[in-house]
Amino acid sequence: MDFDFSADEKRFIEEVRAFLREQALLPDAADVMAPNRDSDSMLSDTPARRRFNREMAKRGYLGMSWPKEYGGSEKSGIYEYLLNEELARVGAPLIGKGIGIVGKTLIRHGSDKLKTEFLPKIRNAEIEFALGYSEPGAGSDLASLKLKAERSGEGWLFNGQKIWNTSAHFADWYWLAARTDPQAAKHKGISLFLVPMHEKGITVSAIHTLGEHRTNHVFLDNVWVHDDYRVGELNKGWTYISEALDFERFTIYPFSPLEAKLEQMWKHIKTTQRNGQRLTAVPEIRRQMARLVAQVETAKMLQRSVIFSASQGGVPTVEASMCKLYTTALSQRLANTMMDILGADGLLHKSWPDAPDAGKWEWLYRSSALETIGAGTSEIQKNIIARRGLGLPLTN
Amino acid sequence: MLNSHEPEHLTLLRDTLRRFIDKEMPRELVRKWDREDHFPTDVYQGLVELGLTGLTVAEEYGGTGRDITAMIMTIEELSARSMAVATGYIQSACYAGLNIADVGSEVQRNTLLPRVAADGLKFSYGFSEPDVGADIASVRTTAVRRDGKIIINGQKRWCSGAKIAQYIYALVRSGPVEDRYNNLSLILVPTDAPGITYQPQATLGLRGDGTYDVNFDQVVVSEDDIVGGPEGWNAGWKKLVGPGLNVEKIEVAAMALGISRAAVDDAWAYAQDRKQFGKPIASIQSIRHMLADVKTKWQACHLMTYHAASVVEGQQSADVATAMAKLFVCDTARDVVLTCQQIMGAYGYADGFDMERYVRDILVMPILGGSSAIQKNNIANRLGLPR
Ligand SMILES: Cc1cc2nc3c(=O)[nH]c(=O)nc-3n(C[C@H](O)[C@H](O)[C@H](O)COP(=O)(O)OP(=O)(O)OC[C@H]3O[C@@H](n4cnc5c(N)ncnc54)[C@H](O)[C@@H]3O)c2cc1C
Ligand SMILES: Cc1cc2nc3c(=O)[nH]c(=O)nc-3n(C[C@H](O)[C@H](O)[C@H](O)COP(=O)(O)OP(=O)(O)OC[C@H]3O[C@@H](n4cnc5c(N)ncnc54)[C@H](O)[C@@H]3O)c2cc1C
Repeated sequence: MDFDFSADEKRFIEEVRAFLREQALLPDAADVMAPNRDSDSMLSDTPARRRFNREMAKRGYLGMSWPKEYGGSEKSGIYEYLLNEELARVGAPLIGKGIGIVGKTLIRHGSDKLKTEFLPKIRNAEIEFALGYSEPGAGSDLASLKLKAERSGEGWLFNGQKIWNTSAHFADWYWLAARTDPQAAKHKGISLFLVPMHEKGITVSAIHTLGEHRTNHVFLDNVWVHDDYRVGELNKGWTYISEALDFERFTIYPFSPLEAKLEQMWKHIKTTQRNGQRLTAVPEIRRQMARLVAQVETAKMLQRSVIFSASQGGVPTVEASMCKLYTTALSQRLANTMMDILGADGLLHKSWPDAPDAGKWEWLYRSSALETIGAGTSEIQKNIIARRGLGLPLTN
Repeated sequence: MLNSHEPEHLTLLRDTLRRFIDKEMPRELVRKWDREDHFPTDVYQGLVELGLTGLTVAEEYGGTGRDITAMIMTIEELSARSMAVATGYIQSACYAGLNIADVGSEVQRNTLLPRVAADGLKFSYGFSEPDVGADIASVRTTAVRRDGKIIINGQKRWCSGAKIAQYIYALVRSGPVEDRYNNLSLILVPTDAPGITYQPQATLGLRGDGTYDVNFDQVVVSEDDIVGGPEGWNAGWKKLVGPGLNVEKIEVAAMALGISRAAVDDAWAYAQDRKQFGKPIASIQSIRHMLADVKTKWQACHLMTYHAASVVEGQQSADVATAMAKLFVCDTARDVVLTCQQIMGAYGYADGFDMERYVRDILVMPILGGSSAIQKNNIANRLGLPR
């Protein structure tokens, strides 16, 4: 079995790397690329980030897999995955929300009006979106969401609340899932909408988190939007949400940050002495590193099997679940192991001048807690593997 | 979890503590202290008035007589609510009370112990330095003795609670480098002595007590401030590694025990409230099993901690029992807290819920007071495993 990339894919990887090397020389590079903070730069809105995204657009990196009629280049989704791998490696903002979830759903199901209005702006990196899915009562059980959308004249009136909506404090548009038929079975009464984030009646309030990510609680109080901004068919929202997730799964969990972290650990261990002994000579550390190297390689193979399946035209749901389940726990293990190795110094926050690796490990210990929760918790991934992979019946 | 054969005075103590904590340390306030990195002096004084800092002080000095189990219980209960208060308590009852009783001079016992019992006098440990962690015998801060005065120069790191303490209990090099272990002294440096500067360190947990880089620039104290009096000069190492070290290990275990208990309690309650898929997540088997696991692990931690405390009290050799308790409890408590966080989903990650604070606070426990790796070395060595 050959898990390697094709010649053209490899050429593309080199091209992106060259582009990123160039970008790294610009004065605002530190605001866009933060290898010590993973892709944290993605979670805040800075002029540098907007500039960087527009530059990606100019290079034709946004919408590579889109059809030509919408300005895309009809490449395989692998190119988007490869782009994300390289972006993630240097801690630059990934592509996904606009190009992937919103863009591809509009291409498949959107009206001509929505396509004309949004696709060019997405491709040119002119707008930012927030995903409005989760609610206080609807987490893993997303299909139980309650936010009400009721007919009102030519449009819809929204009332309710959303929680954990990342980017809602700077996004321009809201990709909103709402209940349009309270009588129907829970999966059959949800529709998707595009709502201007600054519409009257929307209140965004900050939630600060352990990983210093800001996310948001969003309240909608009689927010009105024209029916033109409903996406696809009425009450088909759940299908679109699931479909987008299936297609996006393989672009959103890049492997390169794991590899980069392992390299950084290596570098520290090779260059550090403790009480007169090189860390490379400490048996406990040698054992832990050997184990981690094997596990990172395993993660890489799981990731490749996701891409392989996708490249054969499959929908790699089960492969992606396995990959997410394994790599997110591994990412936490990497952080915890490095904290053990560093001892007390590892606890220094990045604001302290001589914090090791600019506070990276301390921050990772905190922020990696999110990985086994967001985008489907570990328990939910196991359920997917059991039901869709092994065909086991649903139980309670 | 109460022990069926717990002596009555301990049950009473636990009840008193819980009442005090509920009344004086409500969760909202505790969150505020953490957010603002604030030490609640008035609440701490309340503990002192209850006589709790006197749990390590003999009656002749105004305490209630040394009771290690009661002290451990106090640390566990306080840690289950607020590490700011728990660490302040440790600085008094343990750092000041136990050390001065064990290795202080007659004069120091007479002057300082009554202040521990009556006022909650606090010490801050000044052992670690920027390049000196586990191997503290190689400290570089120096003390020179001249005309009955001691002059100190150097830098300490990780001085927890230095700003709320009255003295830094500082380990310094007082003799020639080559006299390893016989060149160290412990000095009581008043925290307001001229020549001391403090730089607060930014760390992820244990907020409220604060931890500092402390710089000594020609700080002058008197010979009477040498721990053990003038005869304590160059005799610091023996004082440091005496029986006090065993107690310190279980102090840390008791903190880990308290934090993890709070995490288990919160996750246990949350799983019953939180409904997904039309039922409480507590009815999902994988969540039930996670909860059963953390309860079981916590119980094992509890037993090991109190067992080690009873070995210390029994005056038997406690090196191994305390090292095992420190190792097992701190590592296990960290796993327990992280599992509890997973049970709470996004709510375990957000500010405003206590879970994220437990996650920040627990991490340091396997590192403090002799790291897990050091405890493993101790256990293998003390059990006589041939090299
Ligand atoms: C920083 C952050 C950013 C986020 N960004 C967004 C965003 O931009 N937009 C958005 O819409 N959402 C976002 N989310 C929300 C995220 O998708 C949810 O947190 C996630 O779906 C889990 O839901 P929950 O946290 O409510 O956990 P719950 O679903 O309440 O789960 C609690 C626990 O129960 C377990 N559990 C639940 N159901 C089952 C089951 N059937 N079997 C076994 N175990 C189960 C879970 O695994 C977990 O351990 C974000 C979350 C965070 C923390
Ligand atoms: C929040 C906080 C508060 C603190 N408060 C105080 C305080 O008040 N006063 C004070 O003096 N100190 C304090 N400390 C310091 C603490 O006591 C030290 O962290 C501890 O002594 C270990 O030193 P180190 O972390 O520098 O570890 P190092 O010695 O640098 O060791 C780093 C790692 O190597 C491992 N290791 C070391 N030696 C060996 C060995 N021989 N074999 C195998 N593995 C080994 C350790 O387990 C650890 O994982 C505090 C620390 C923290 C984080």
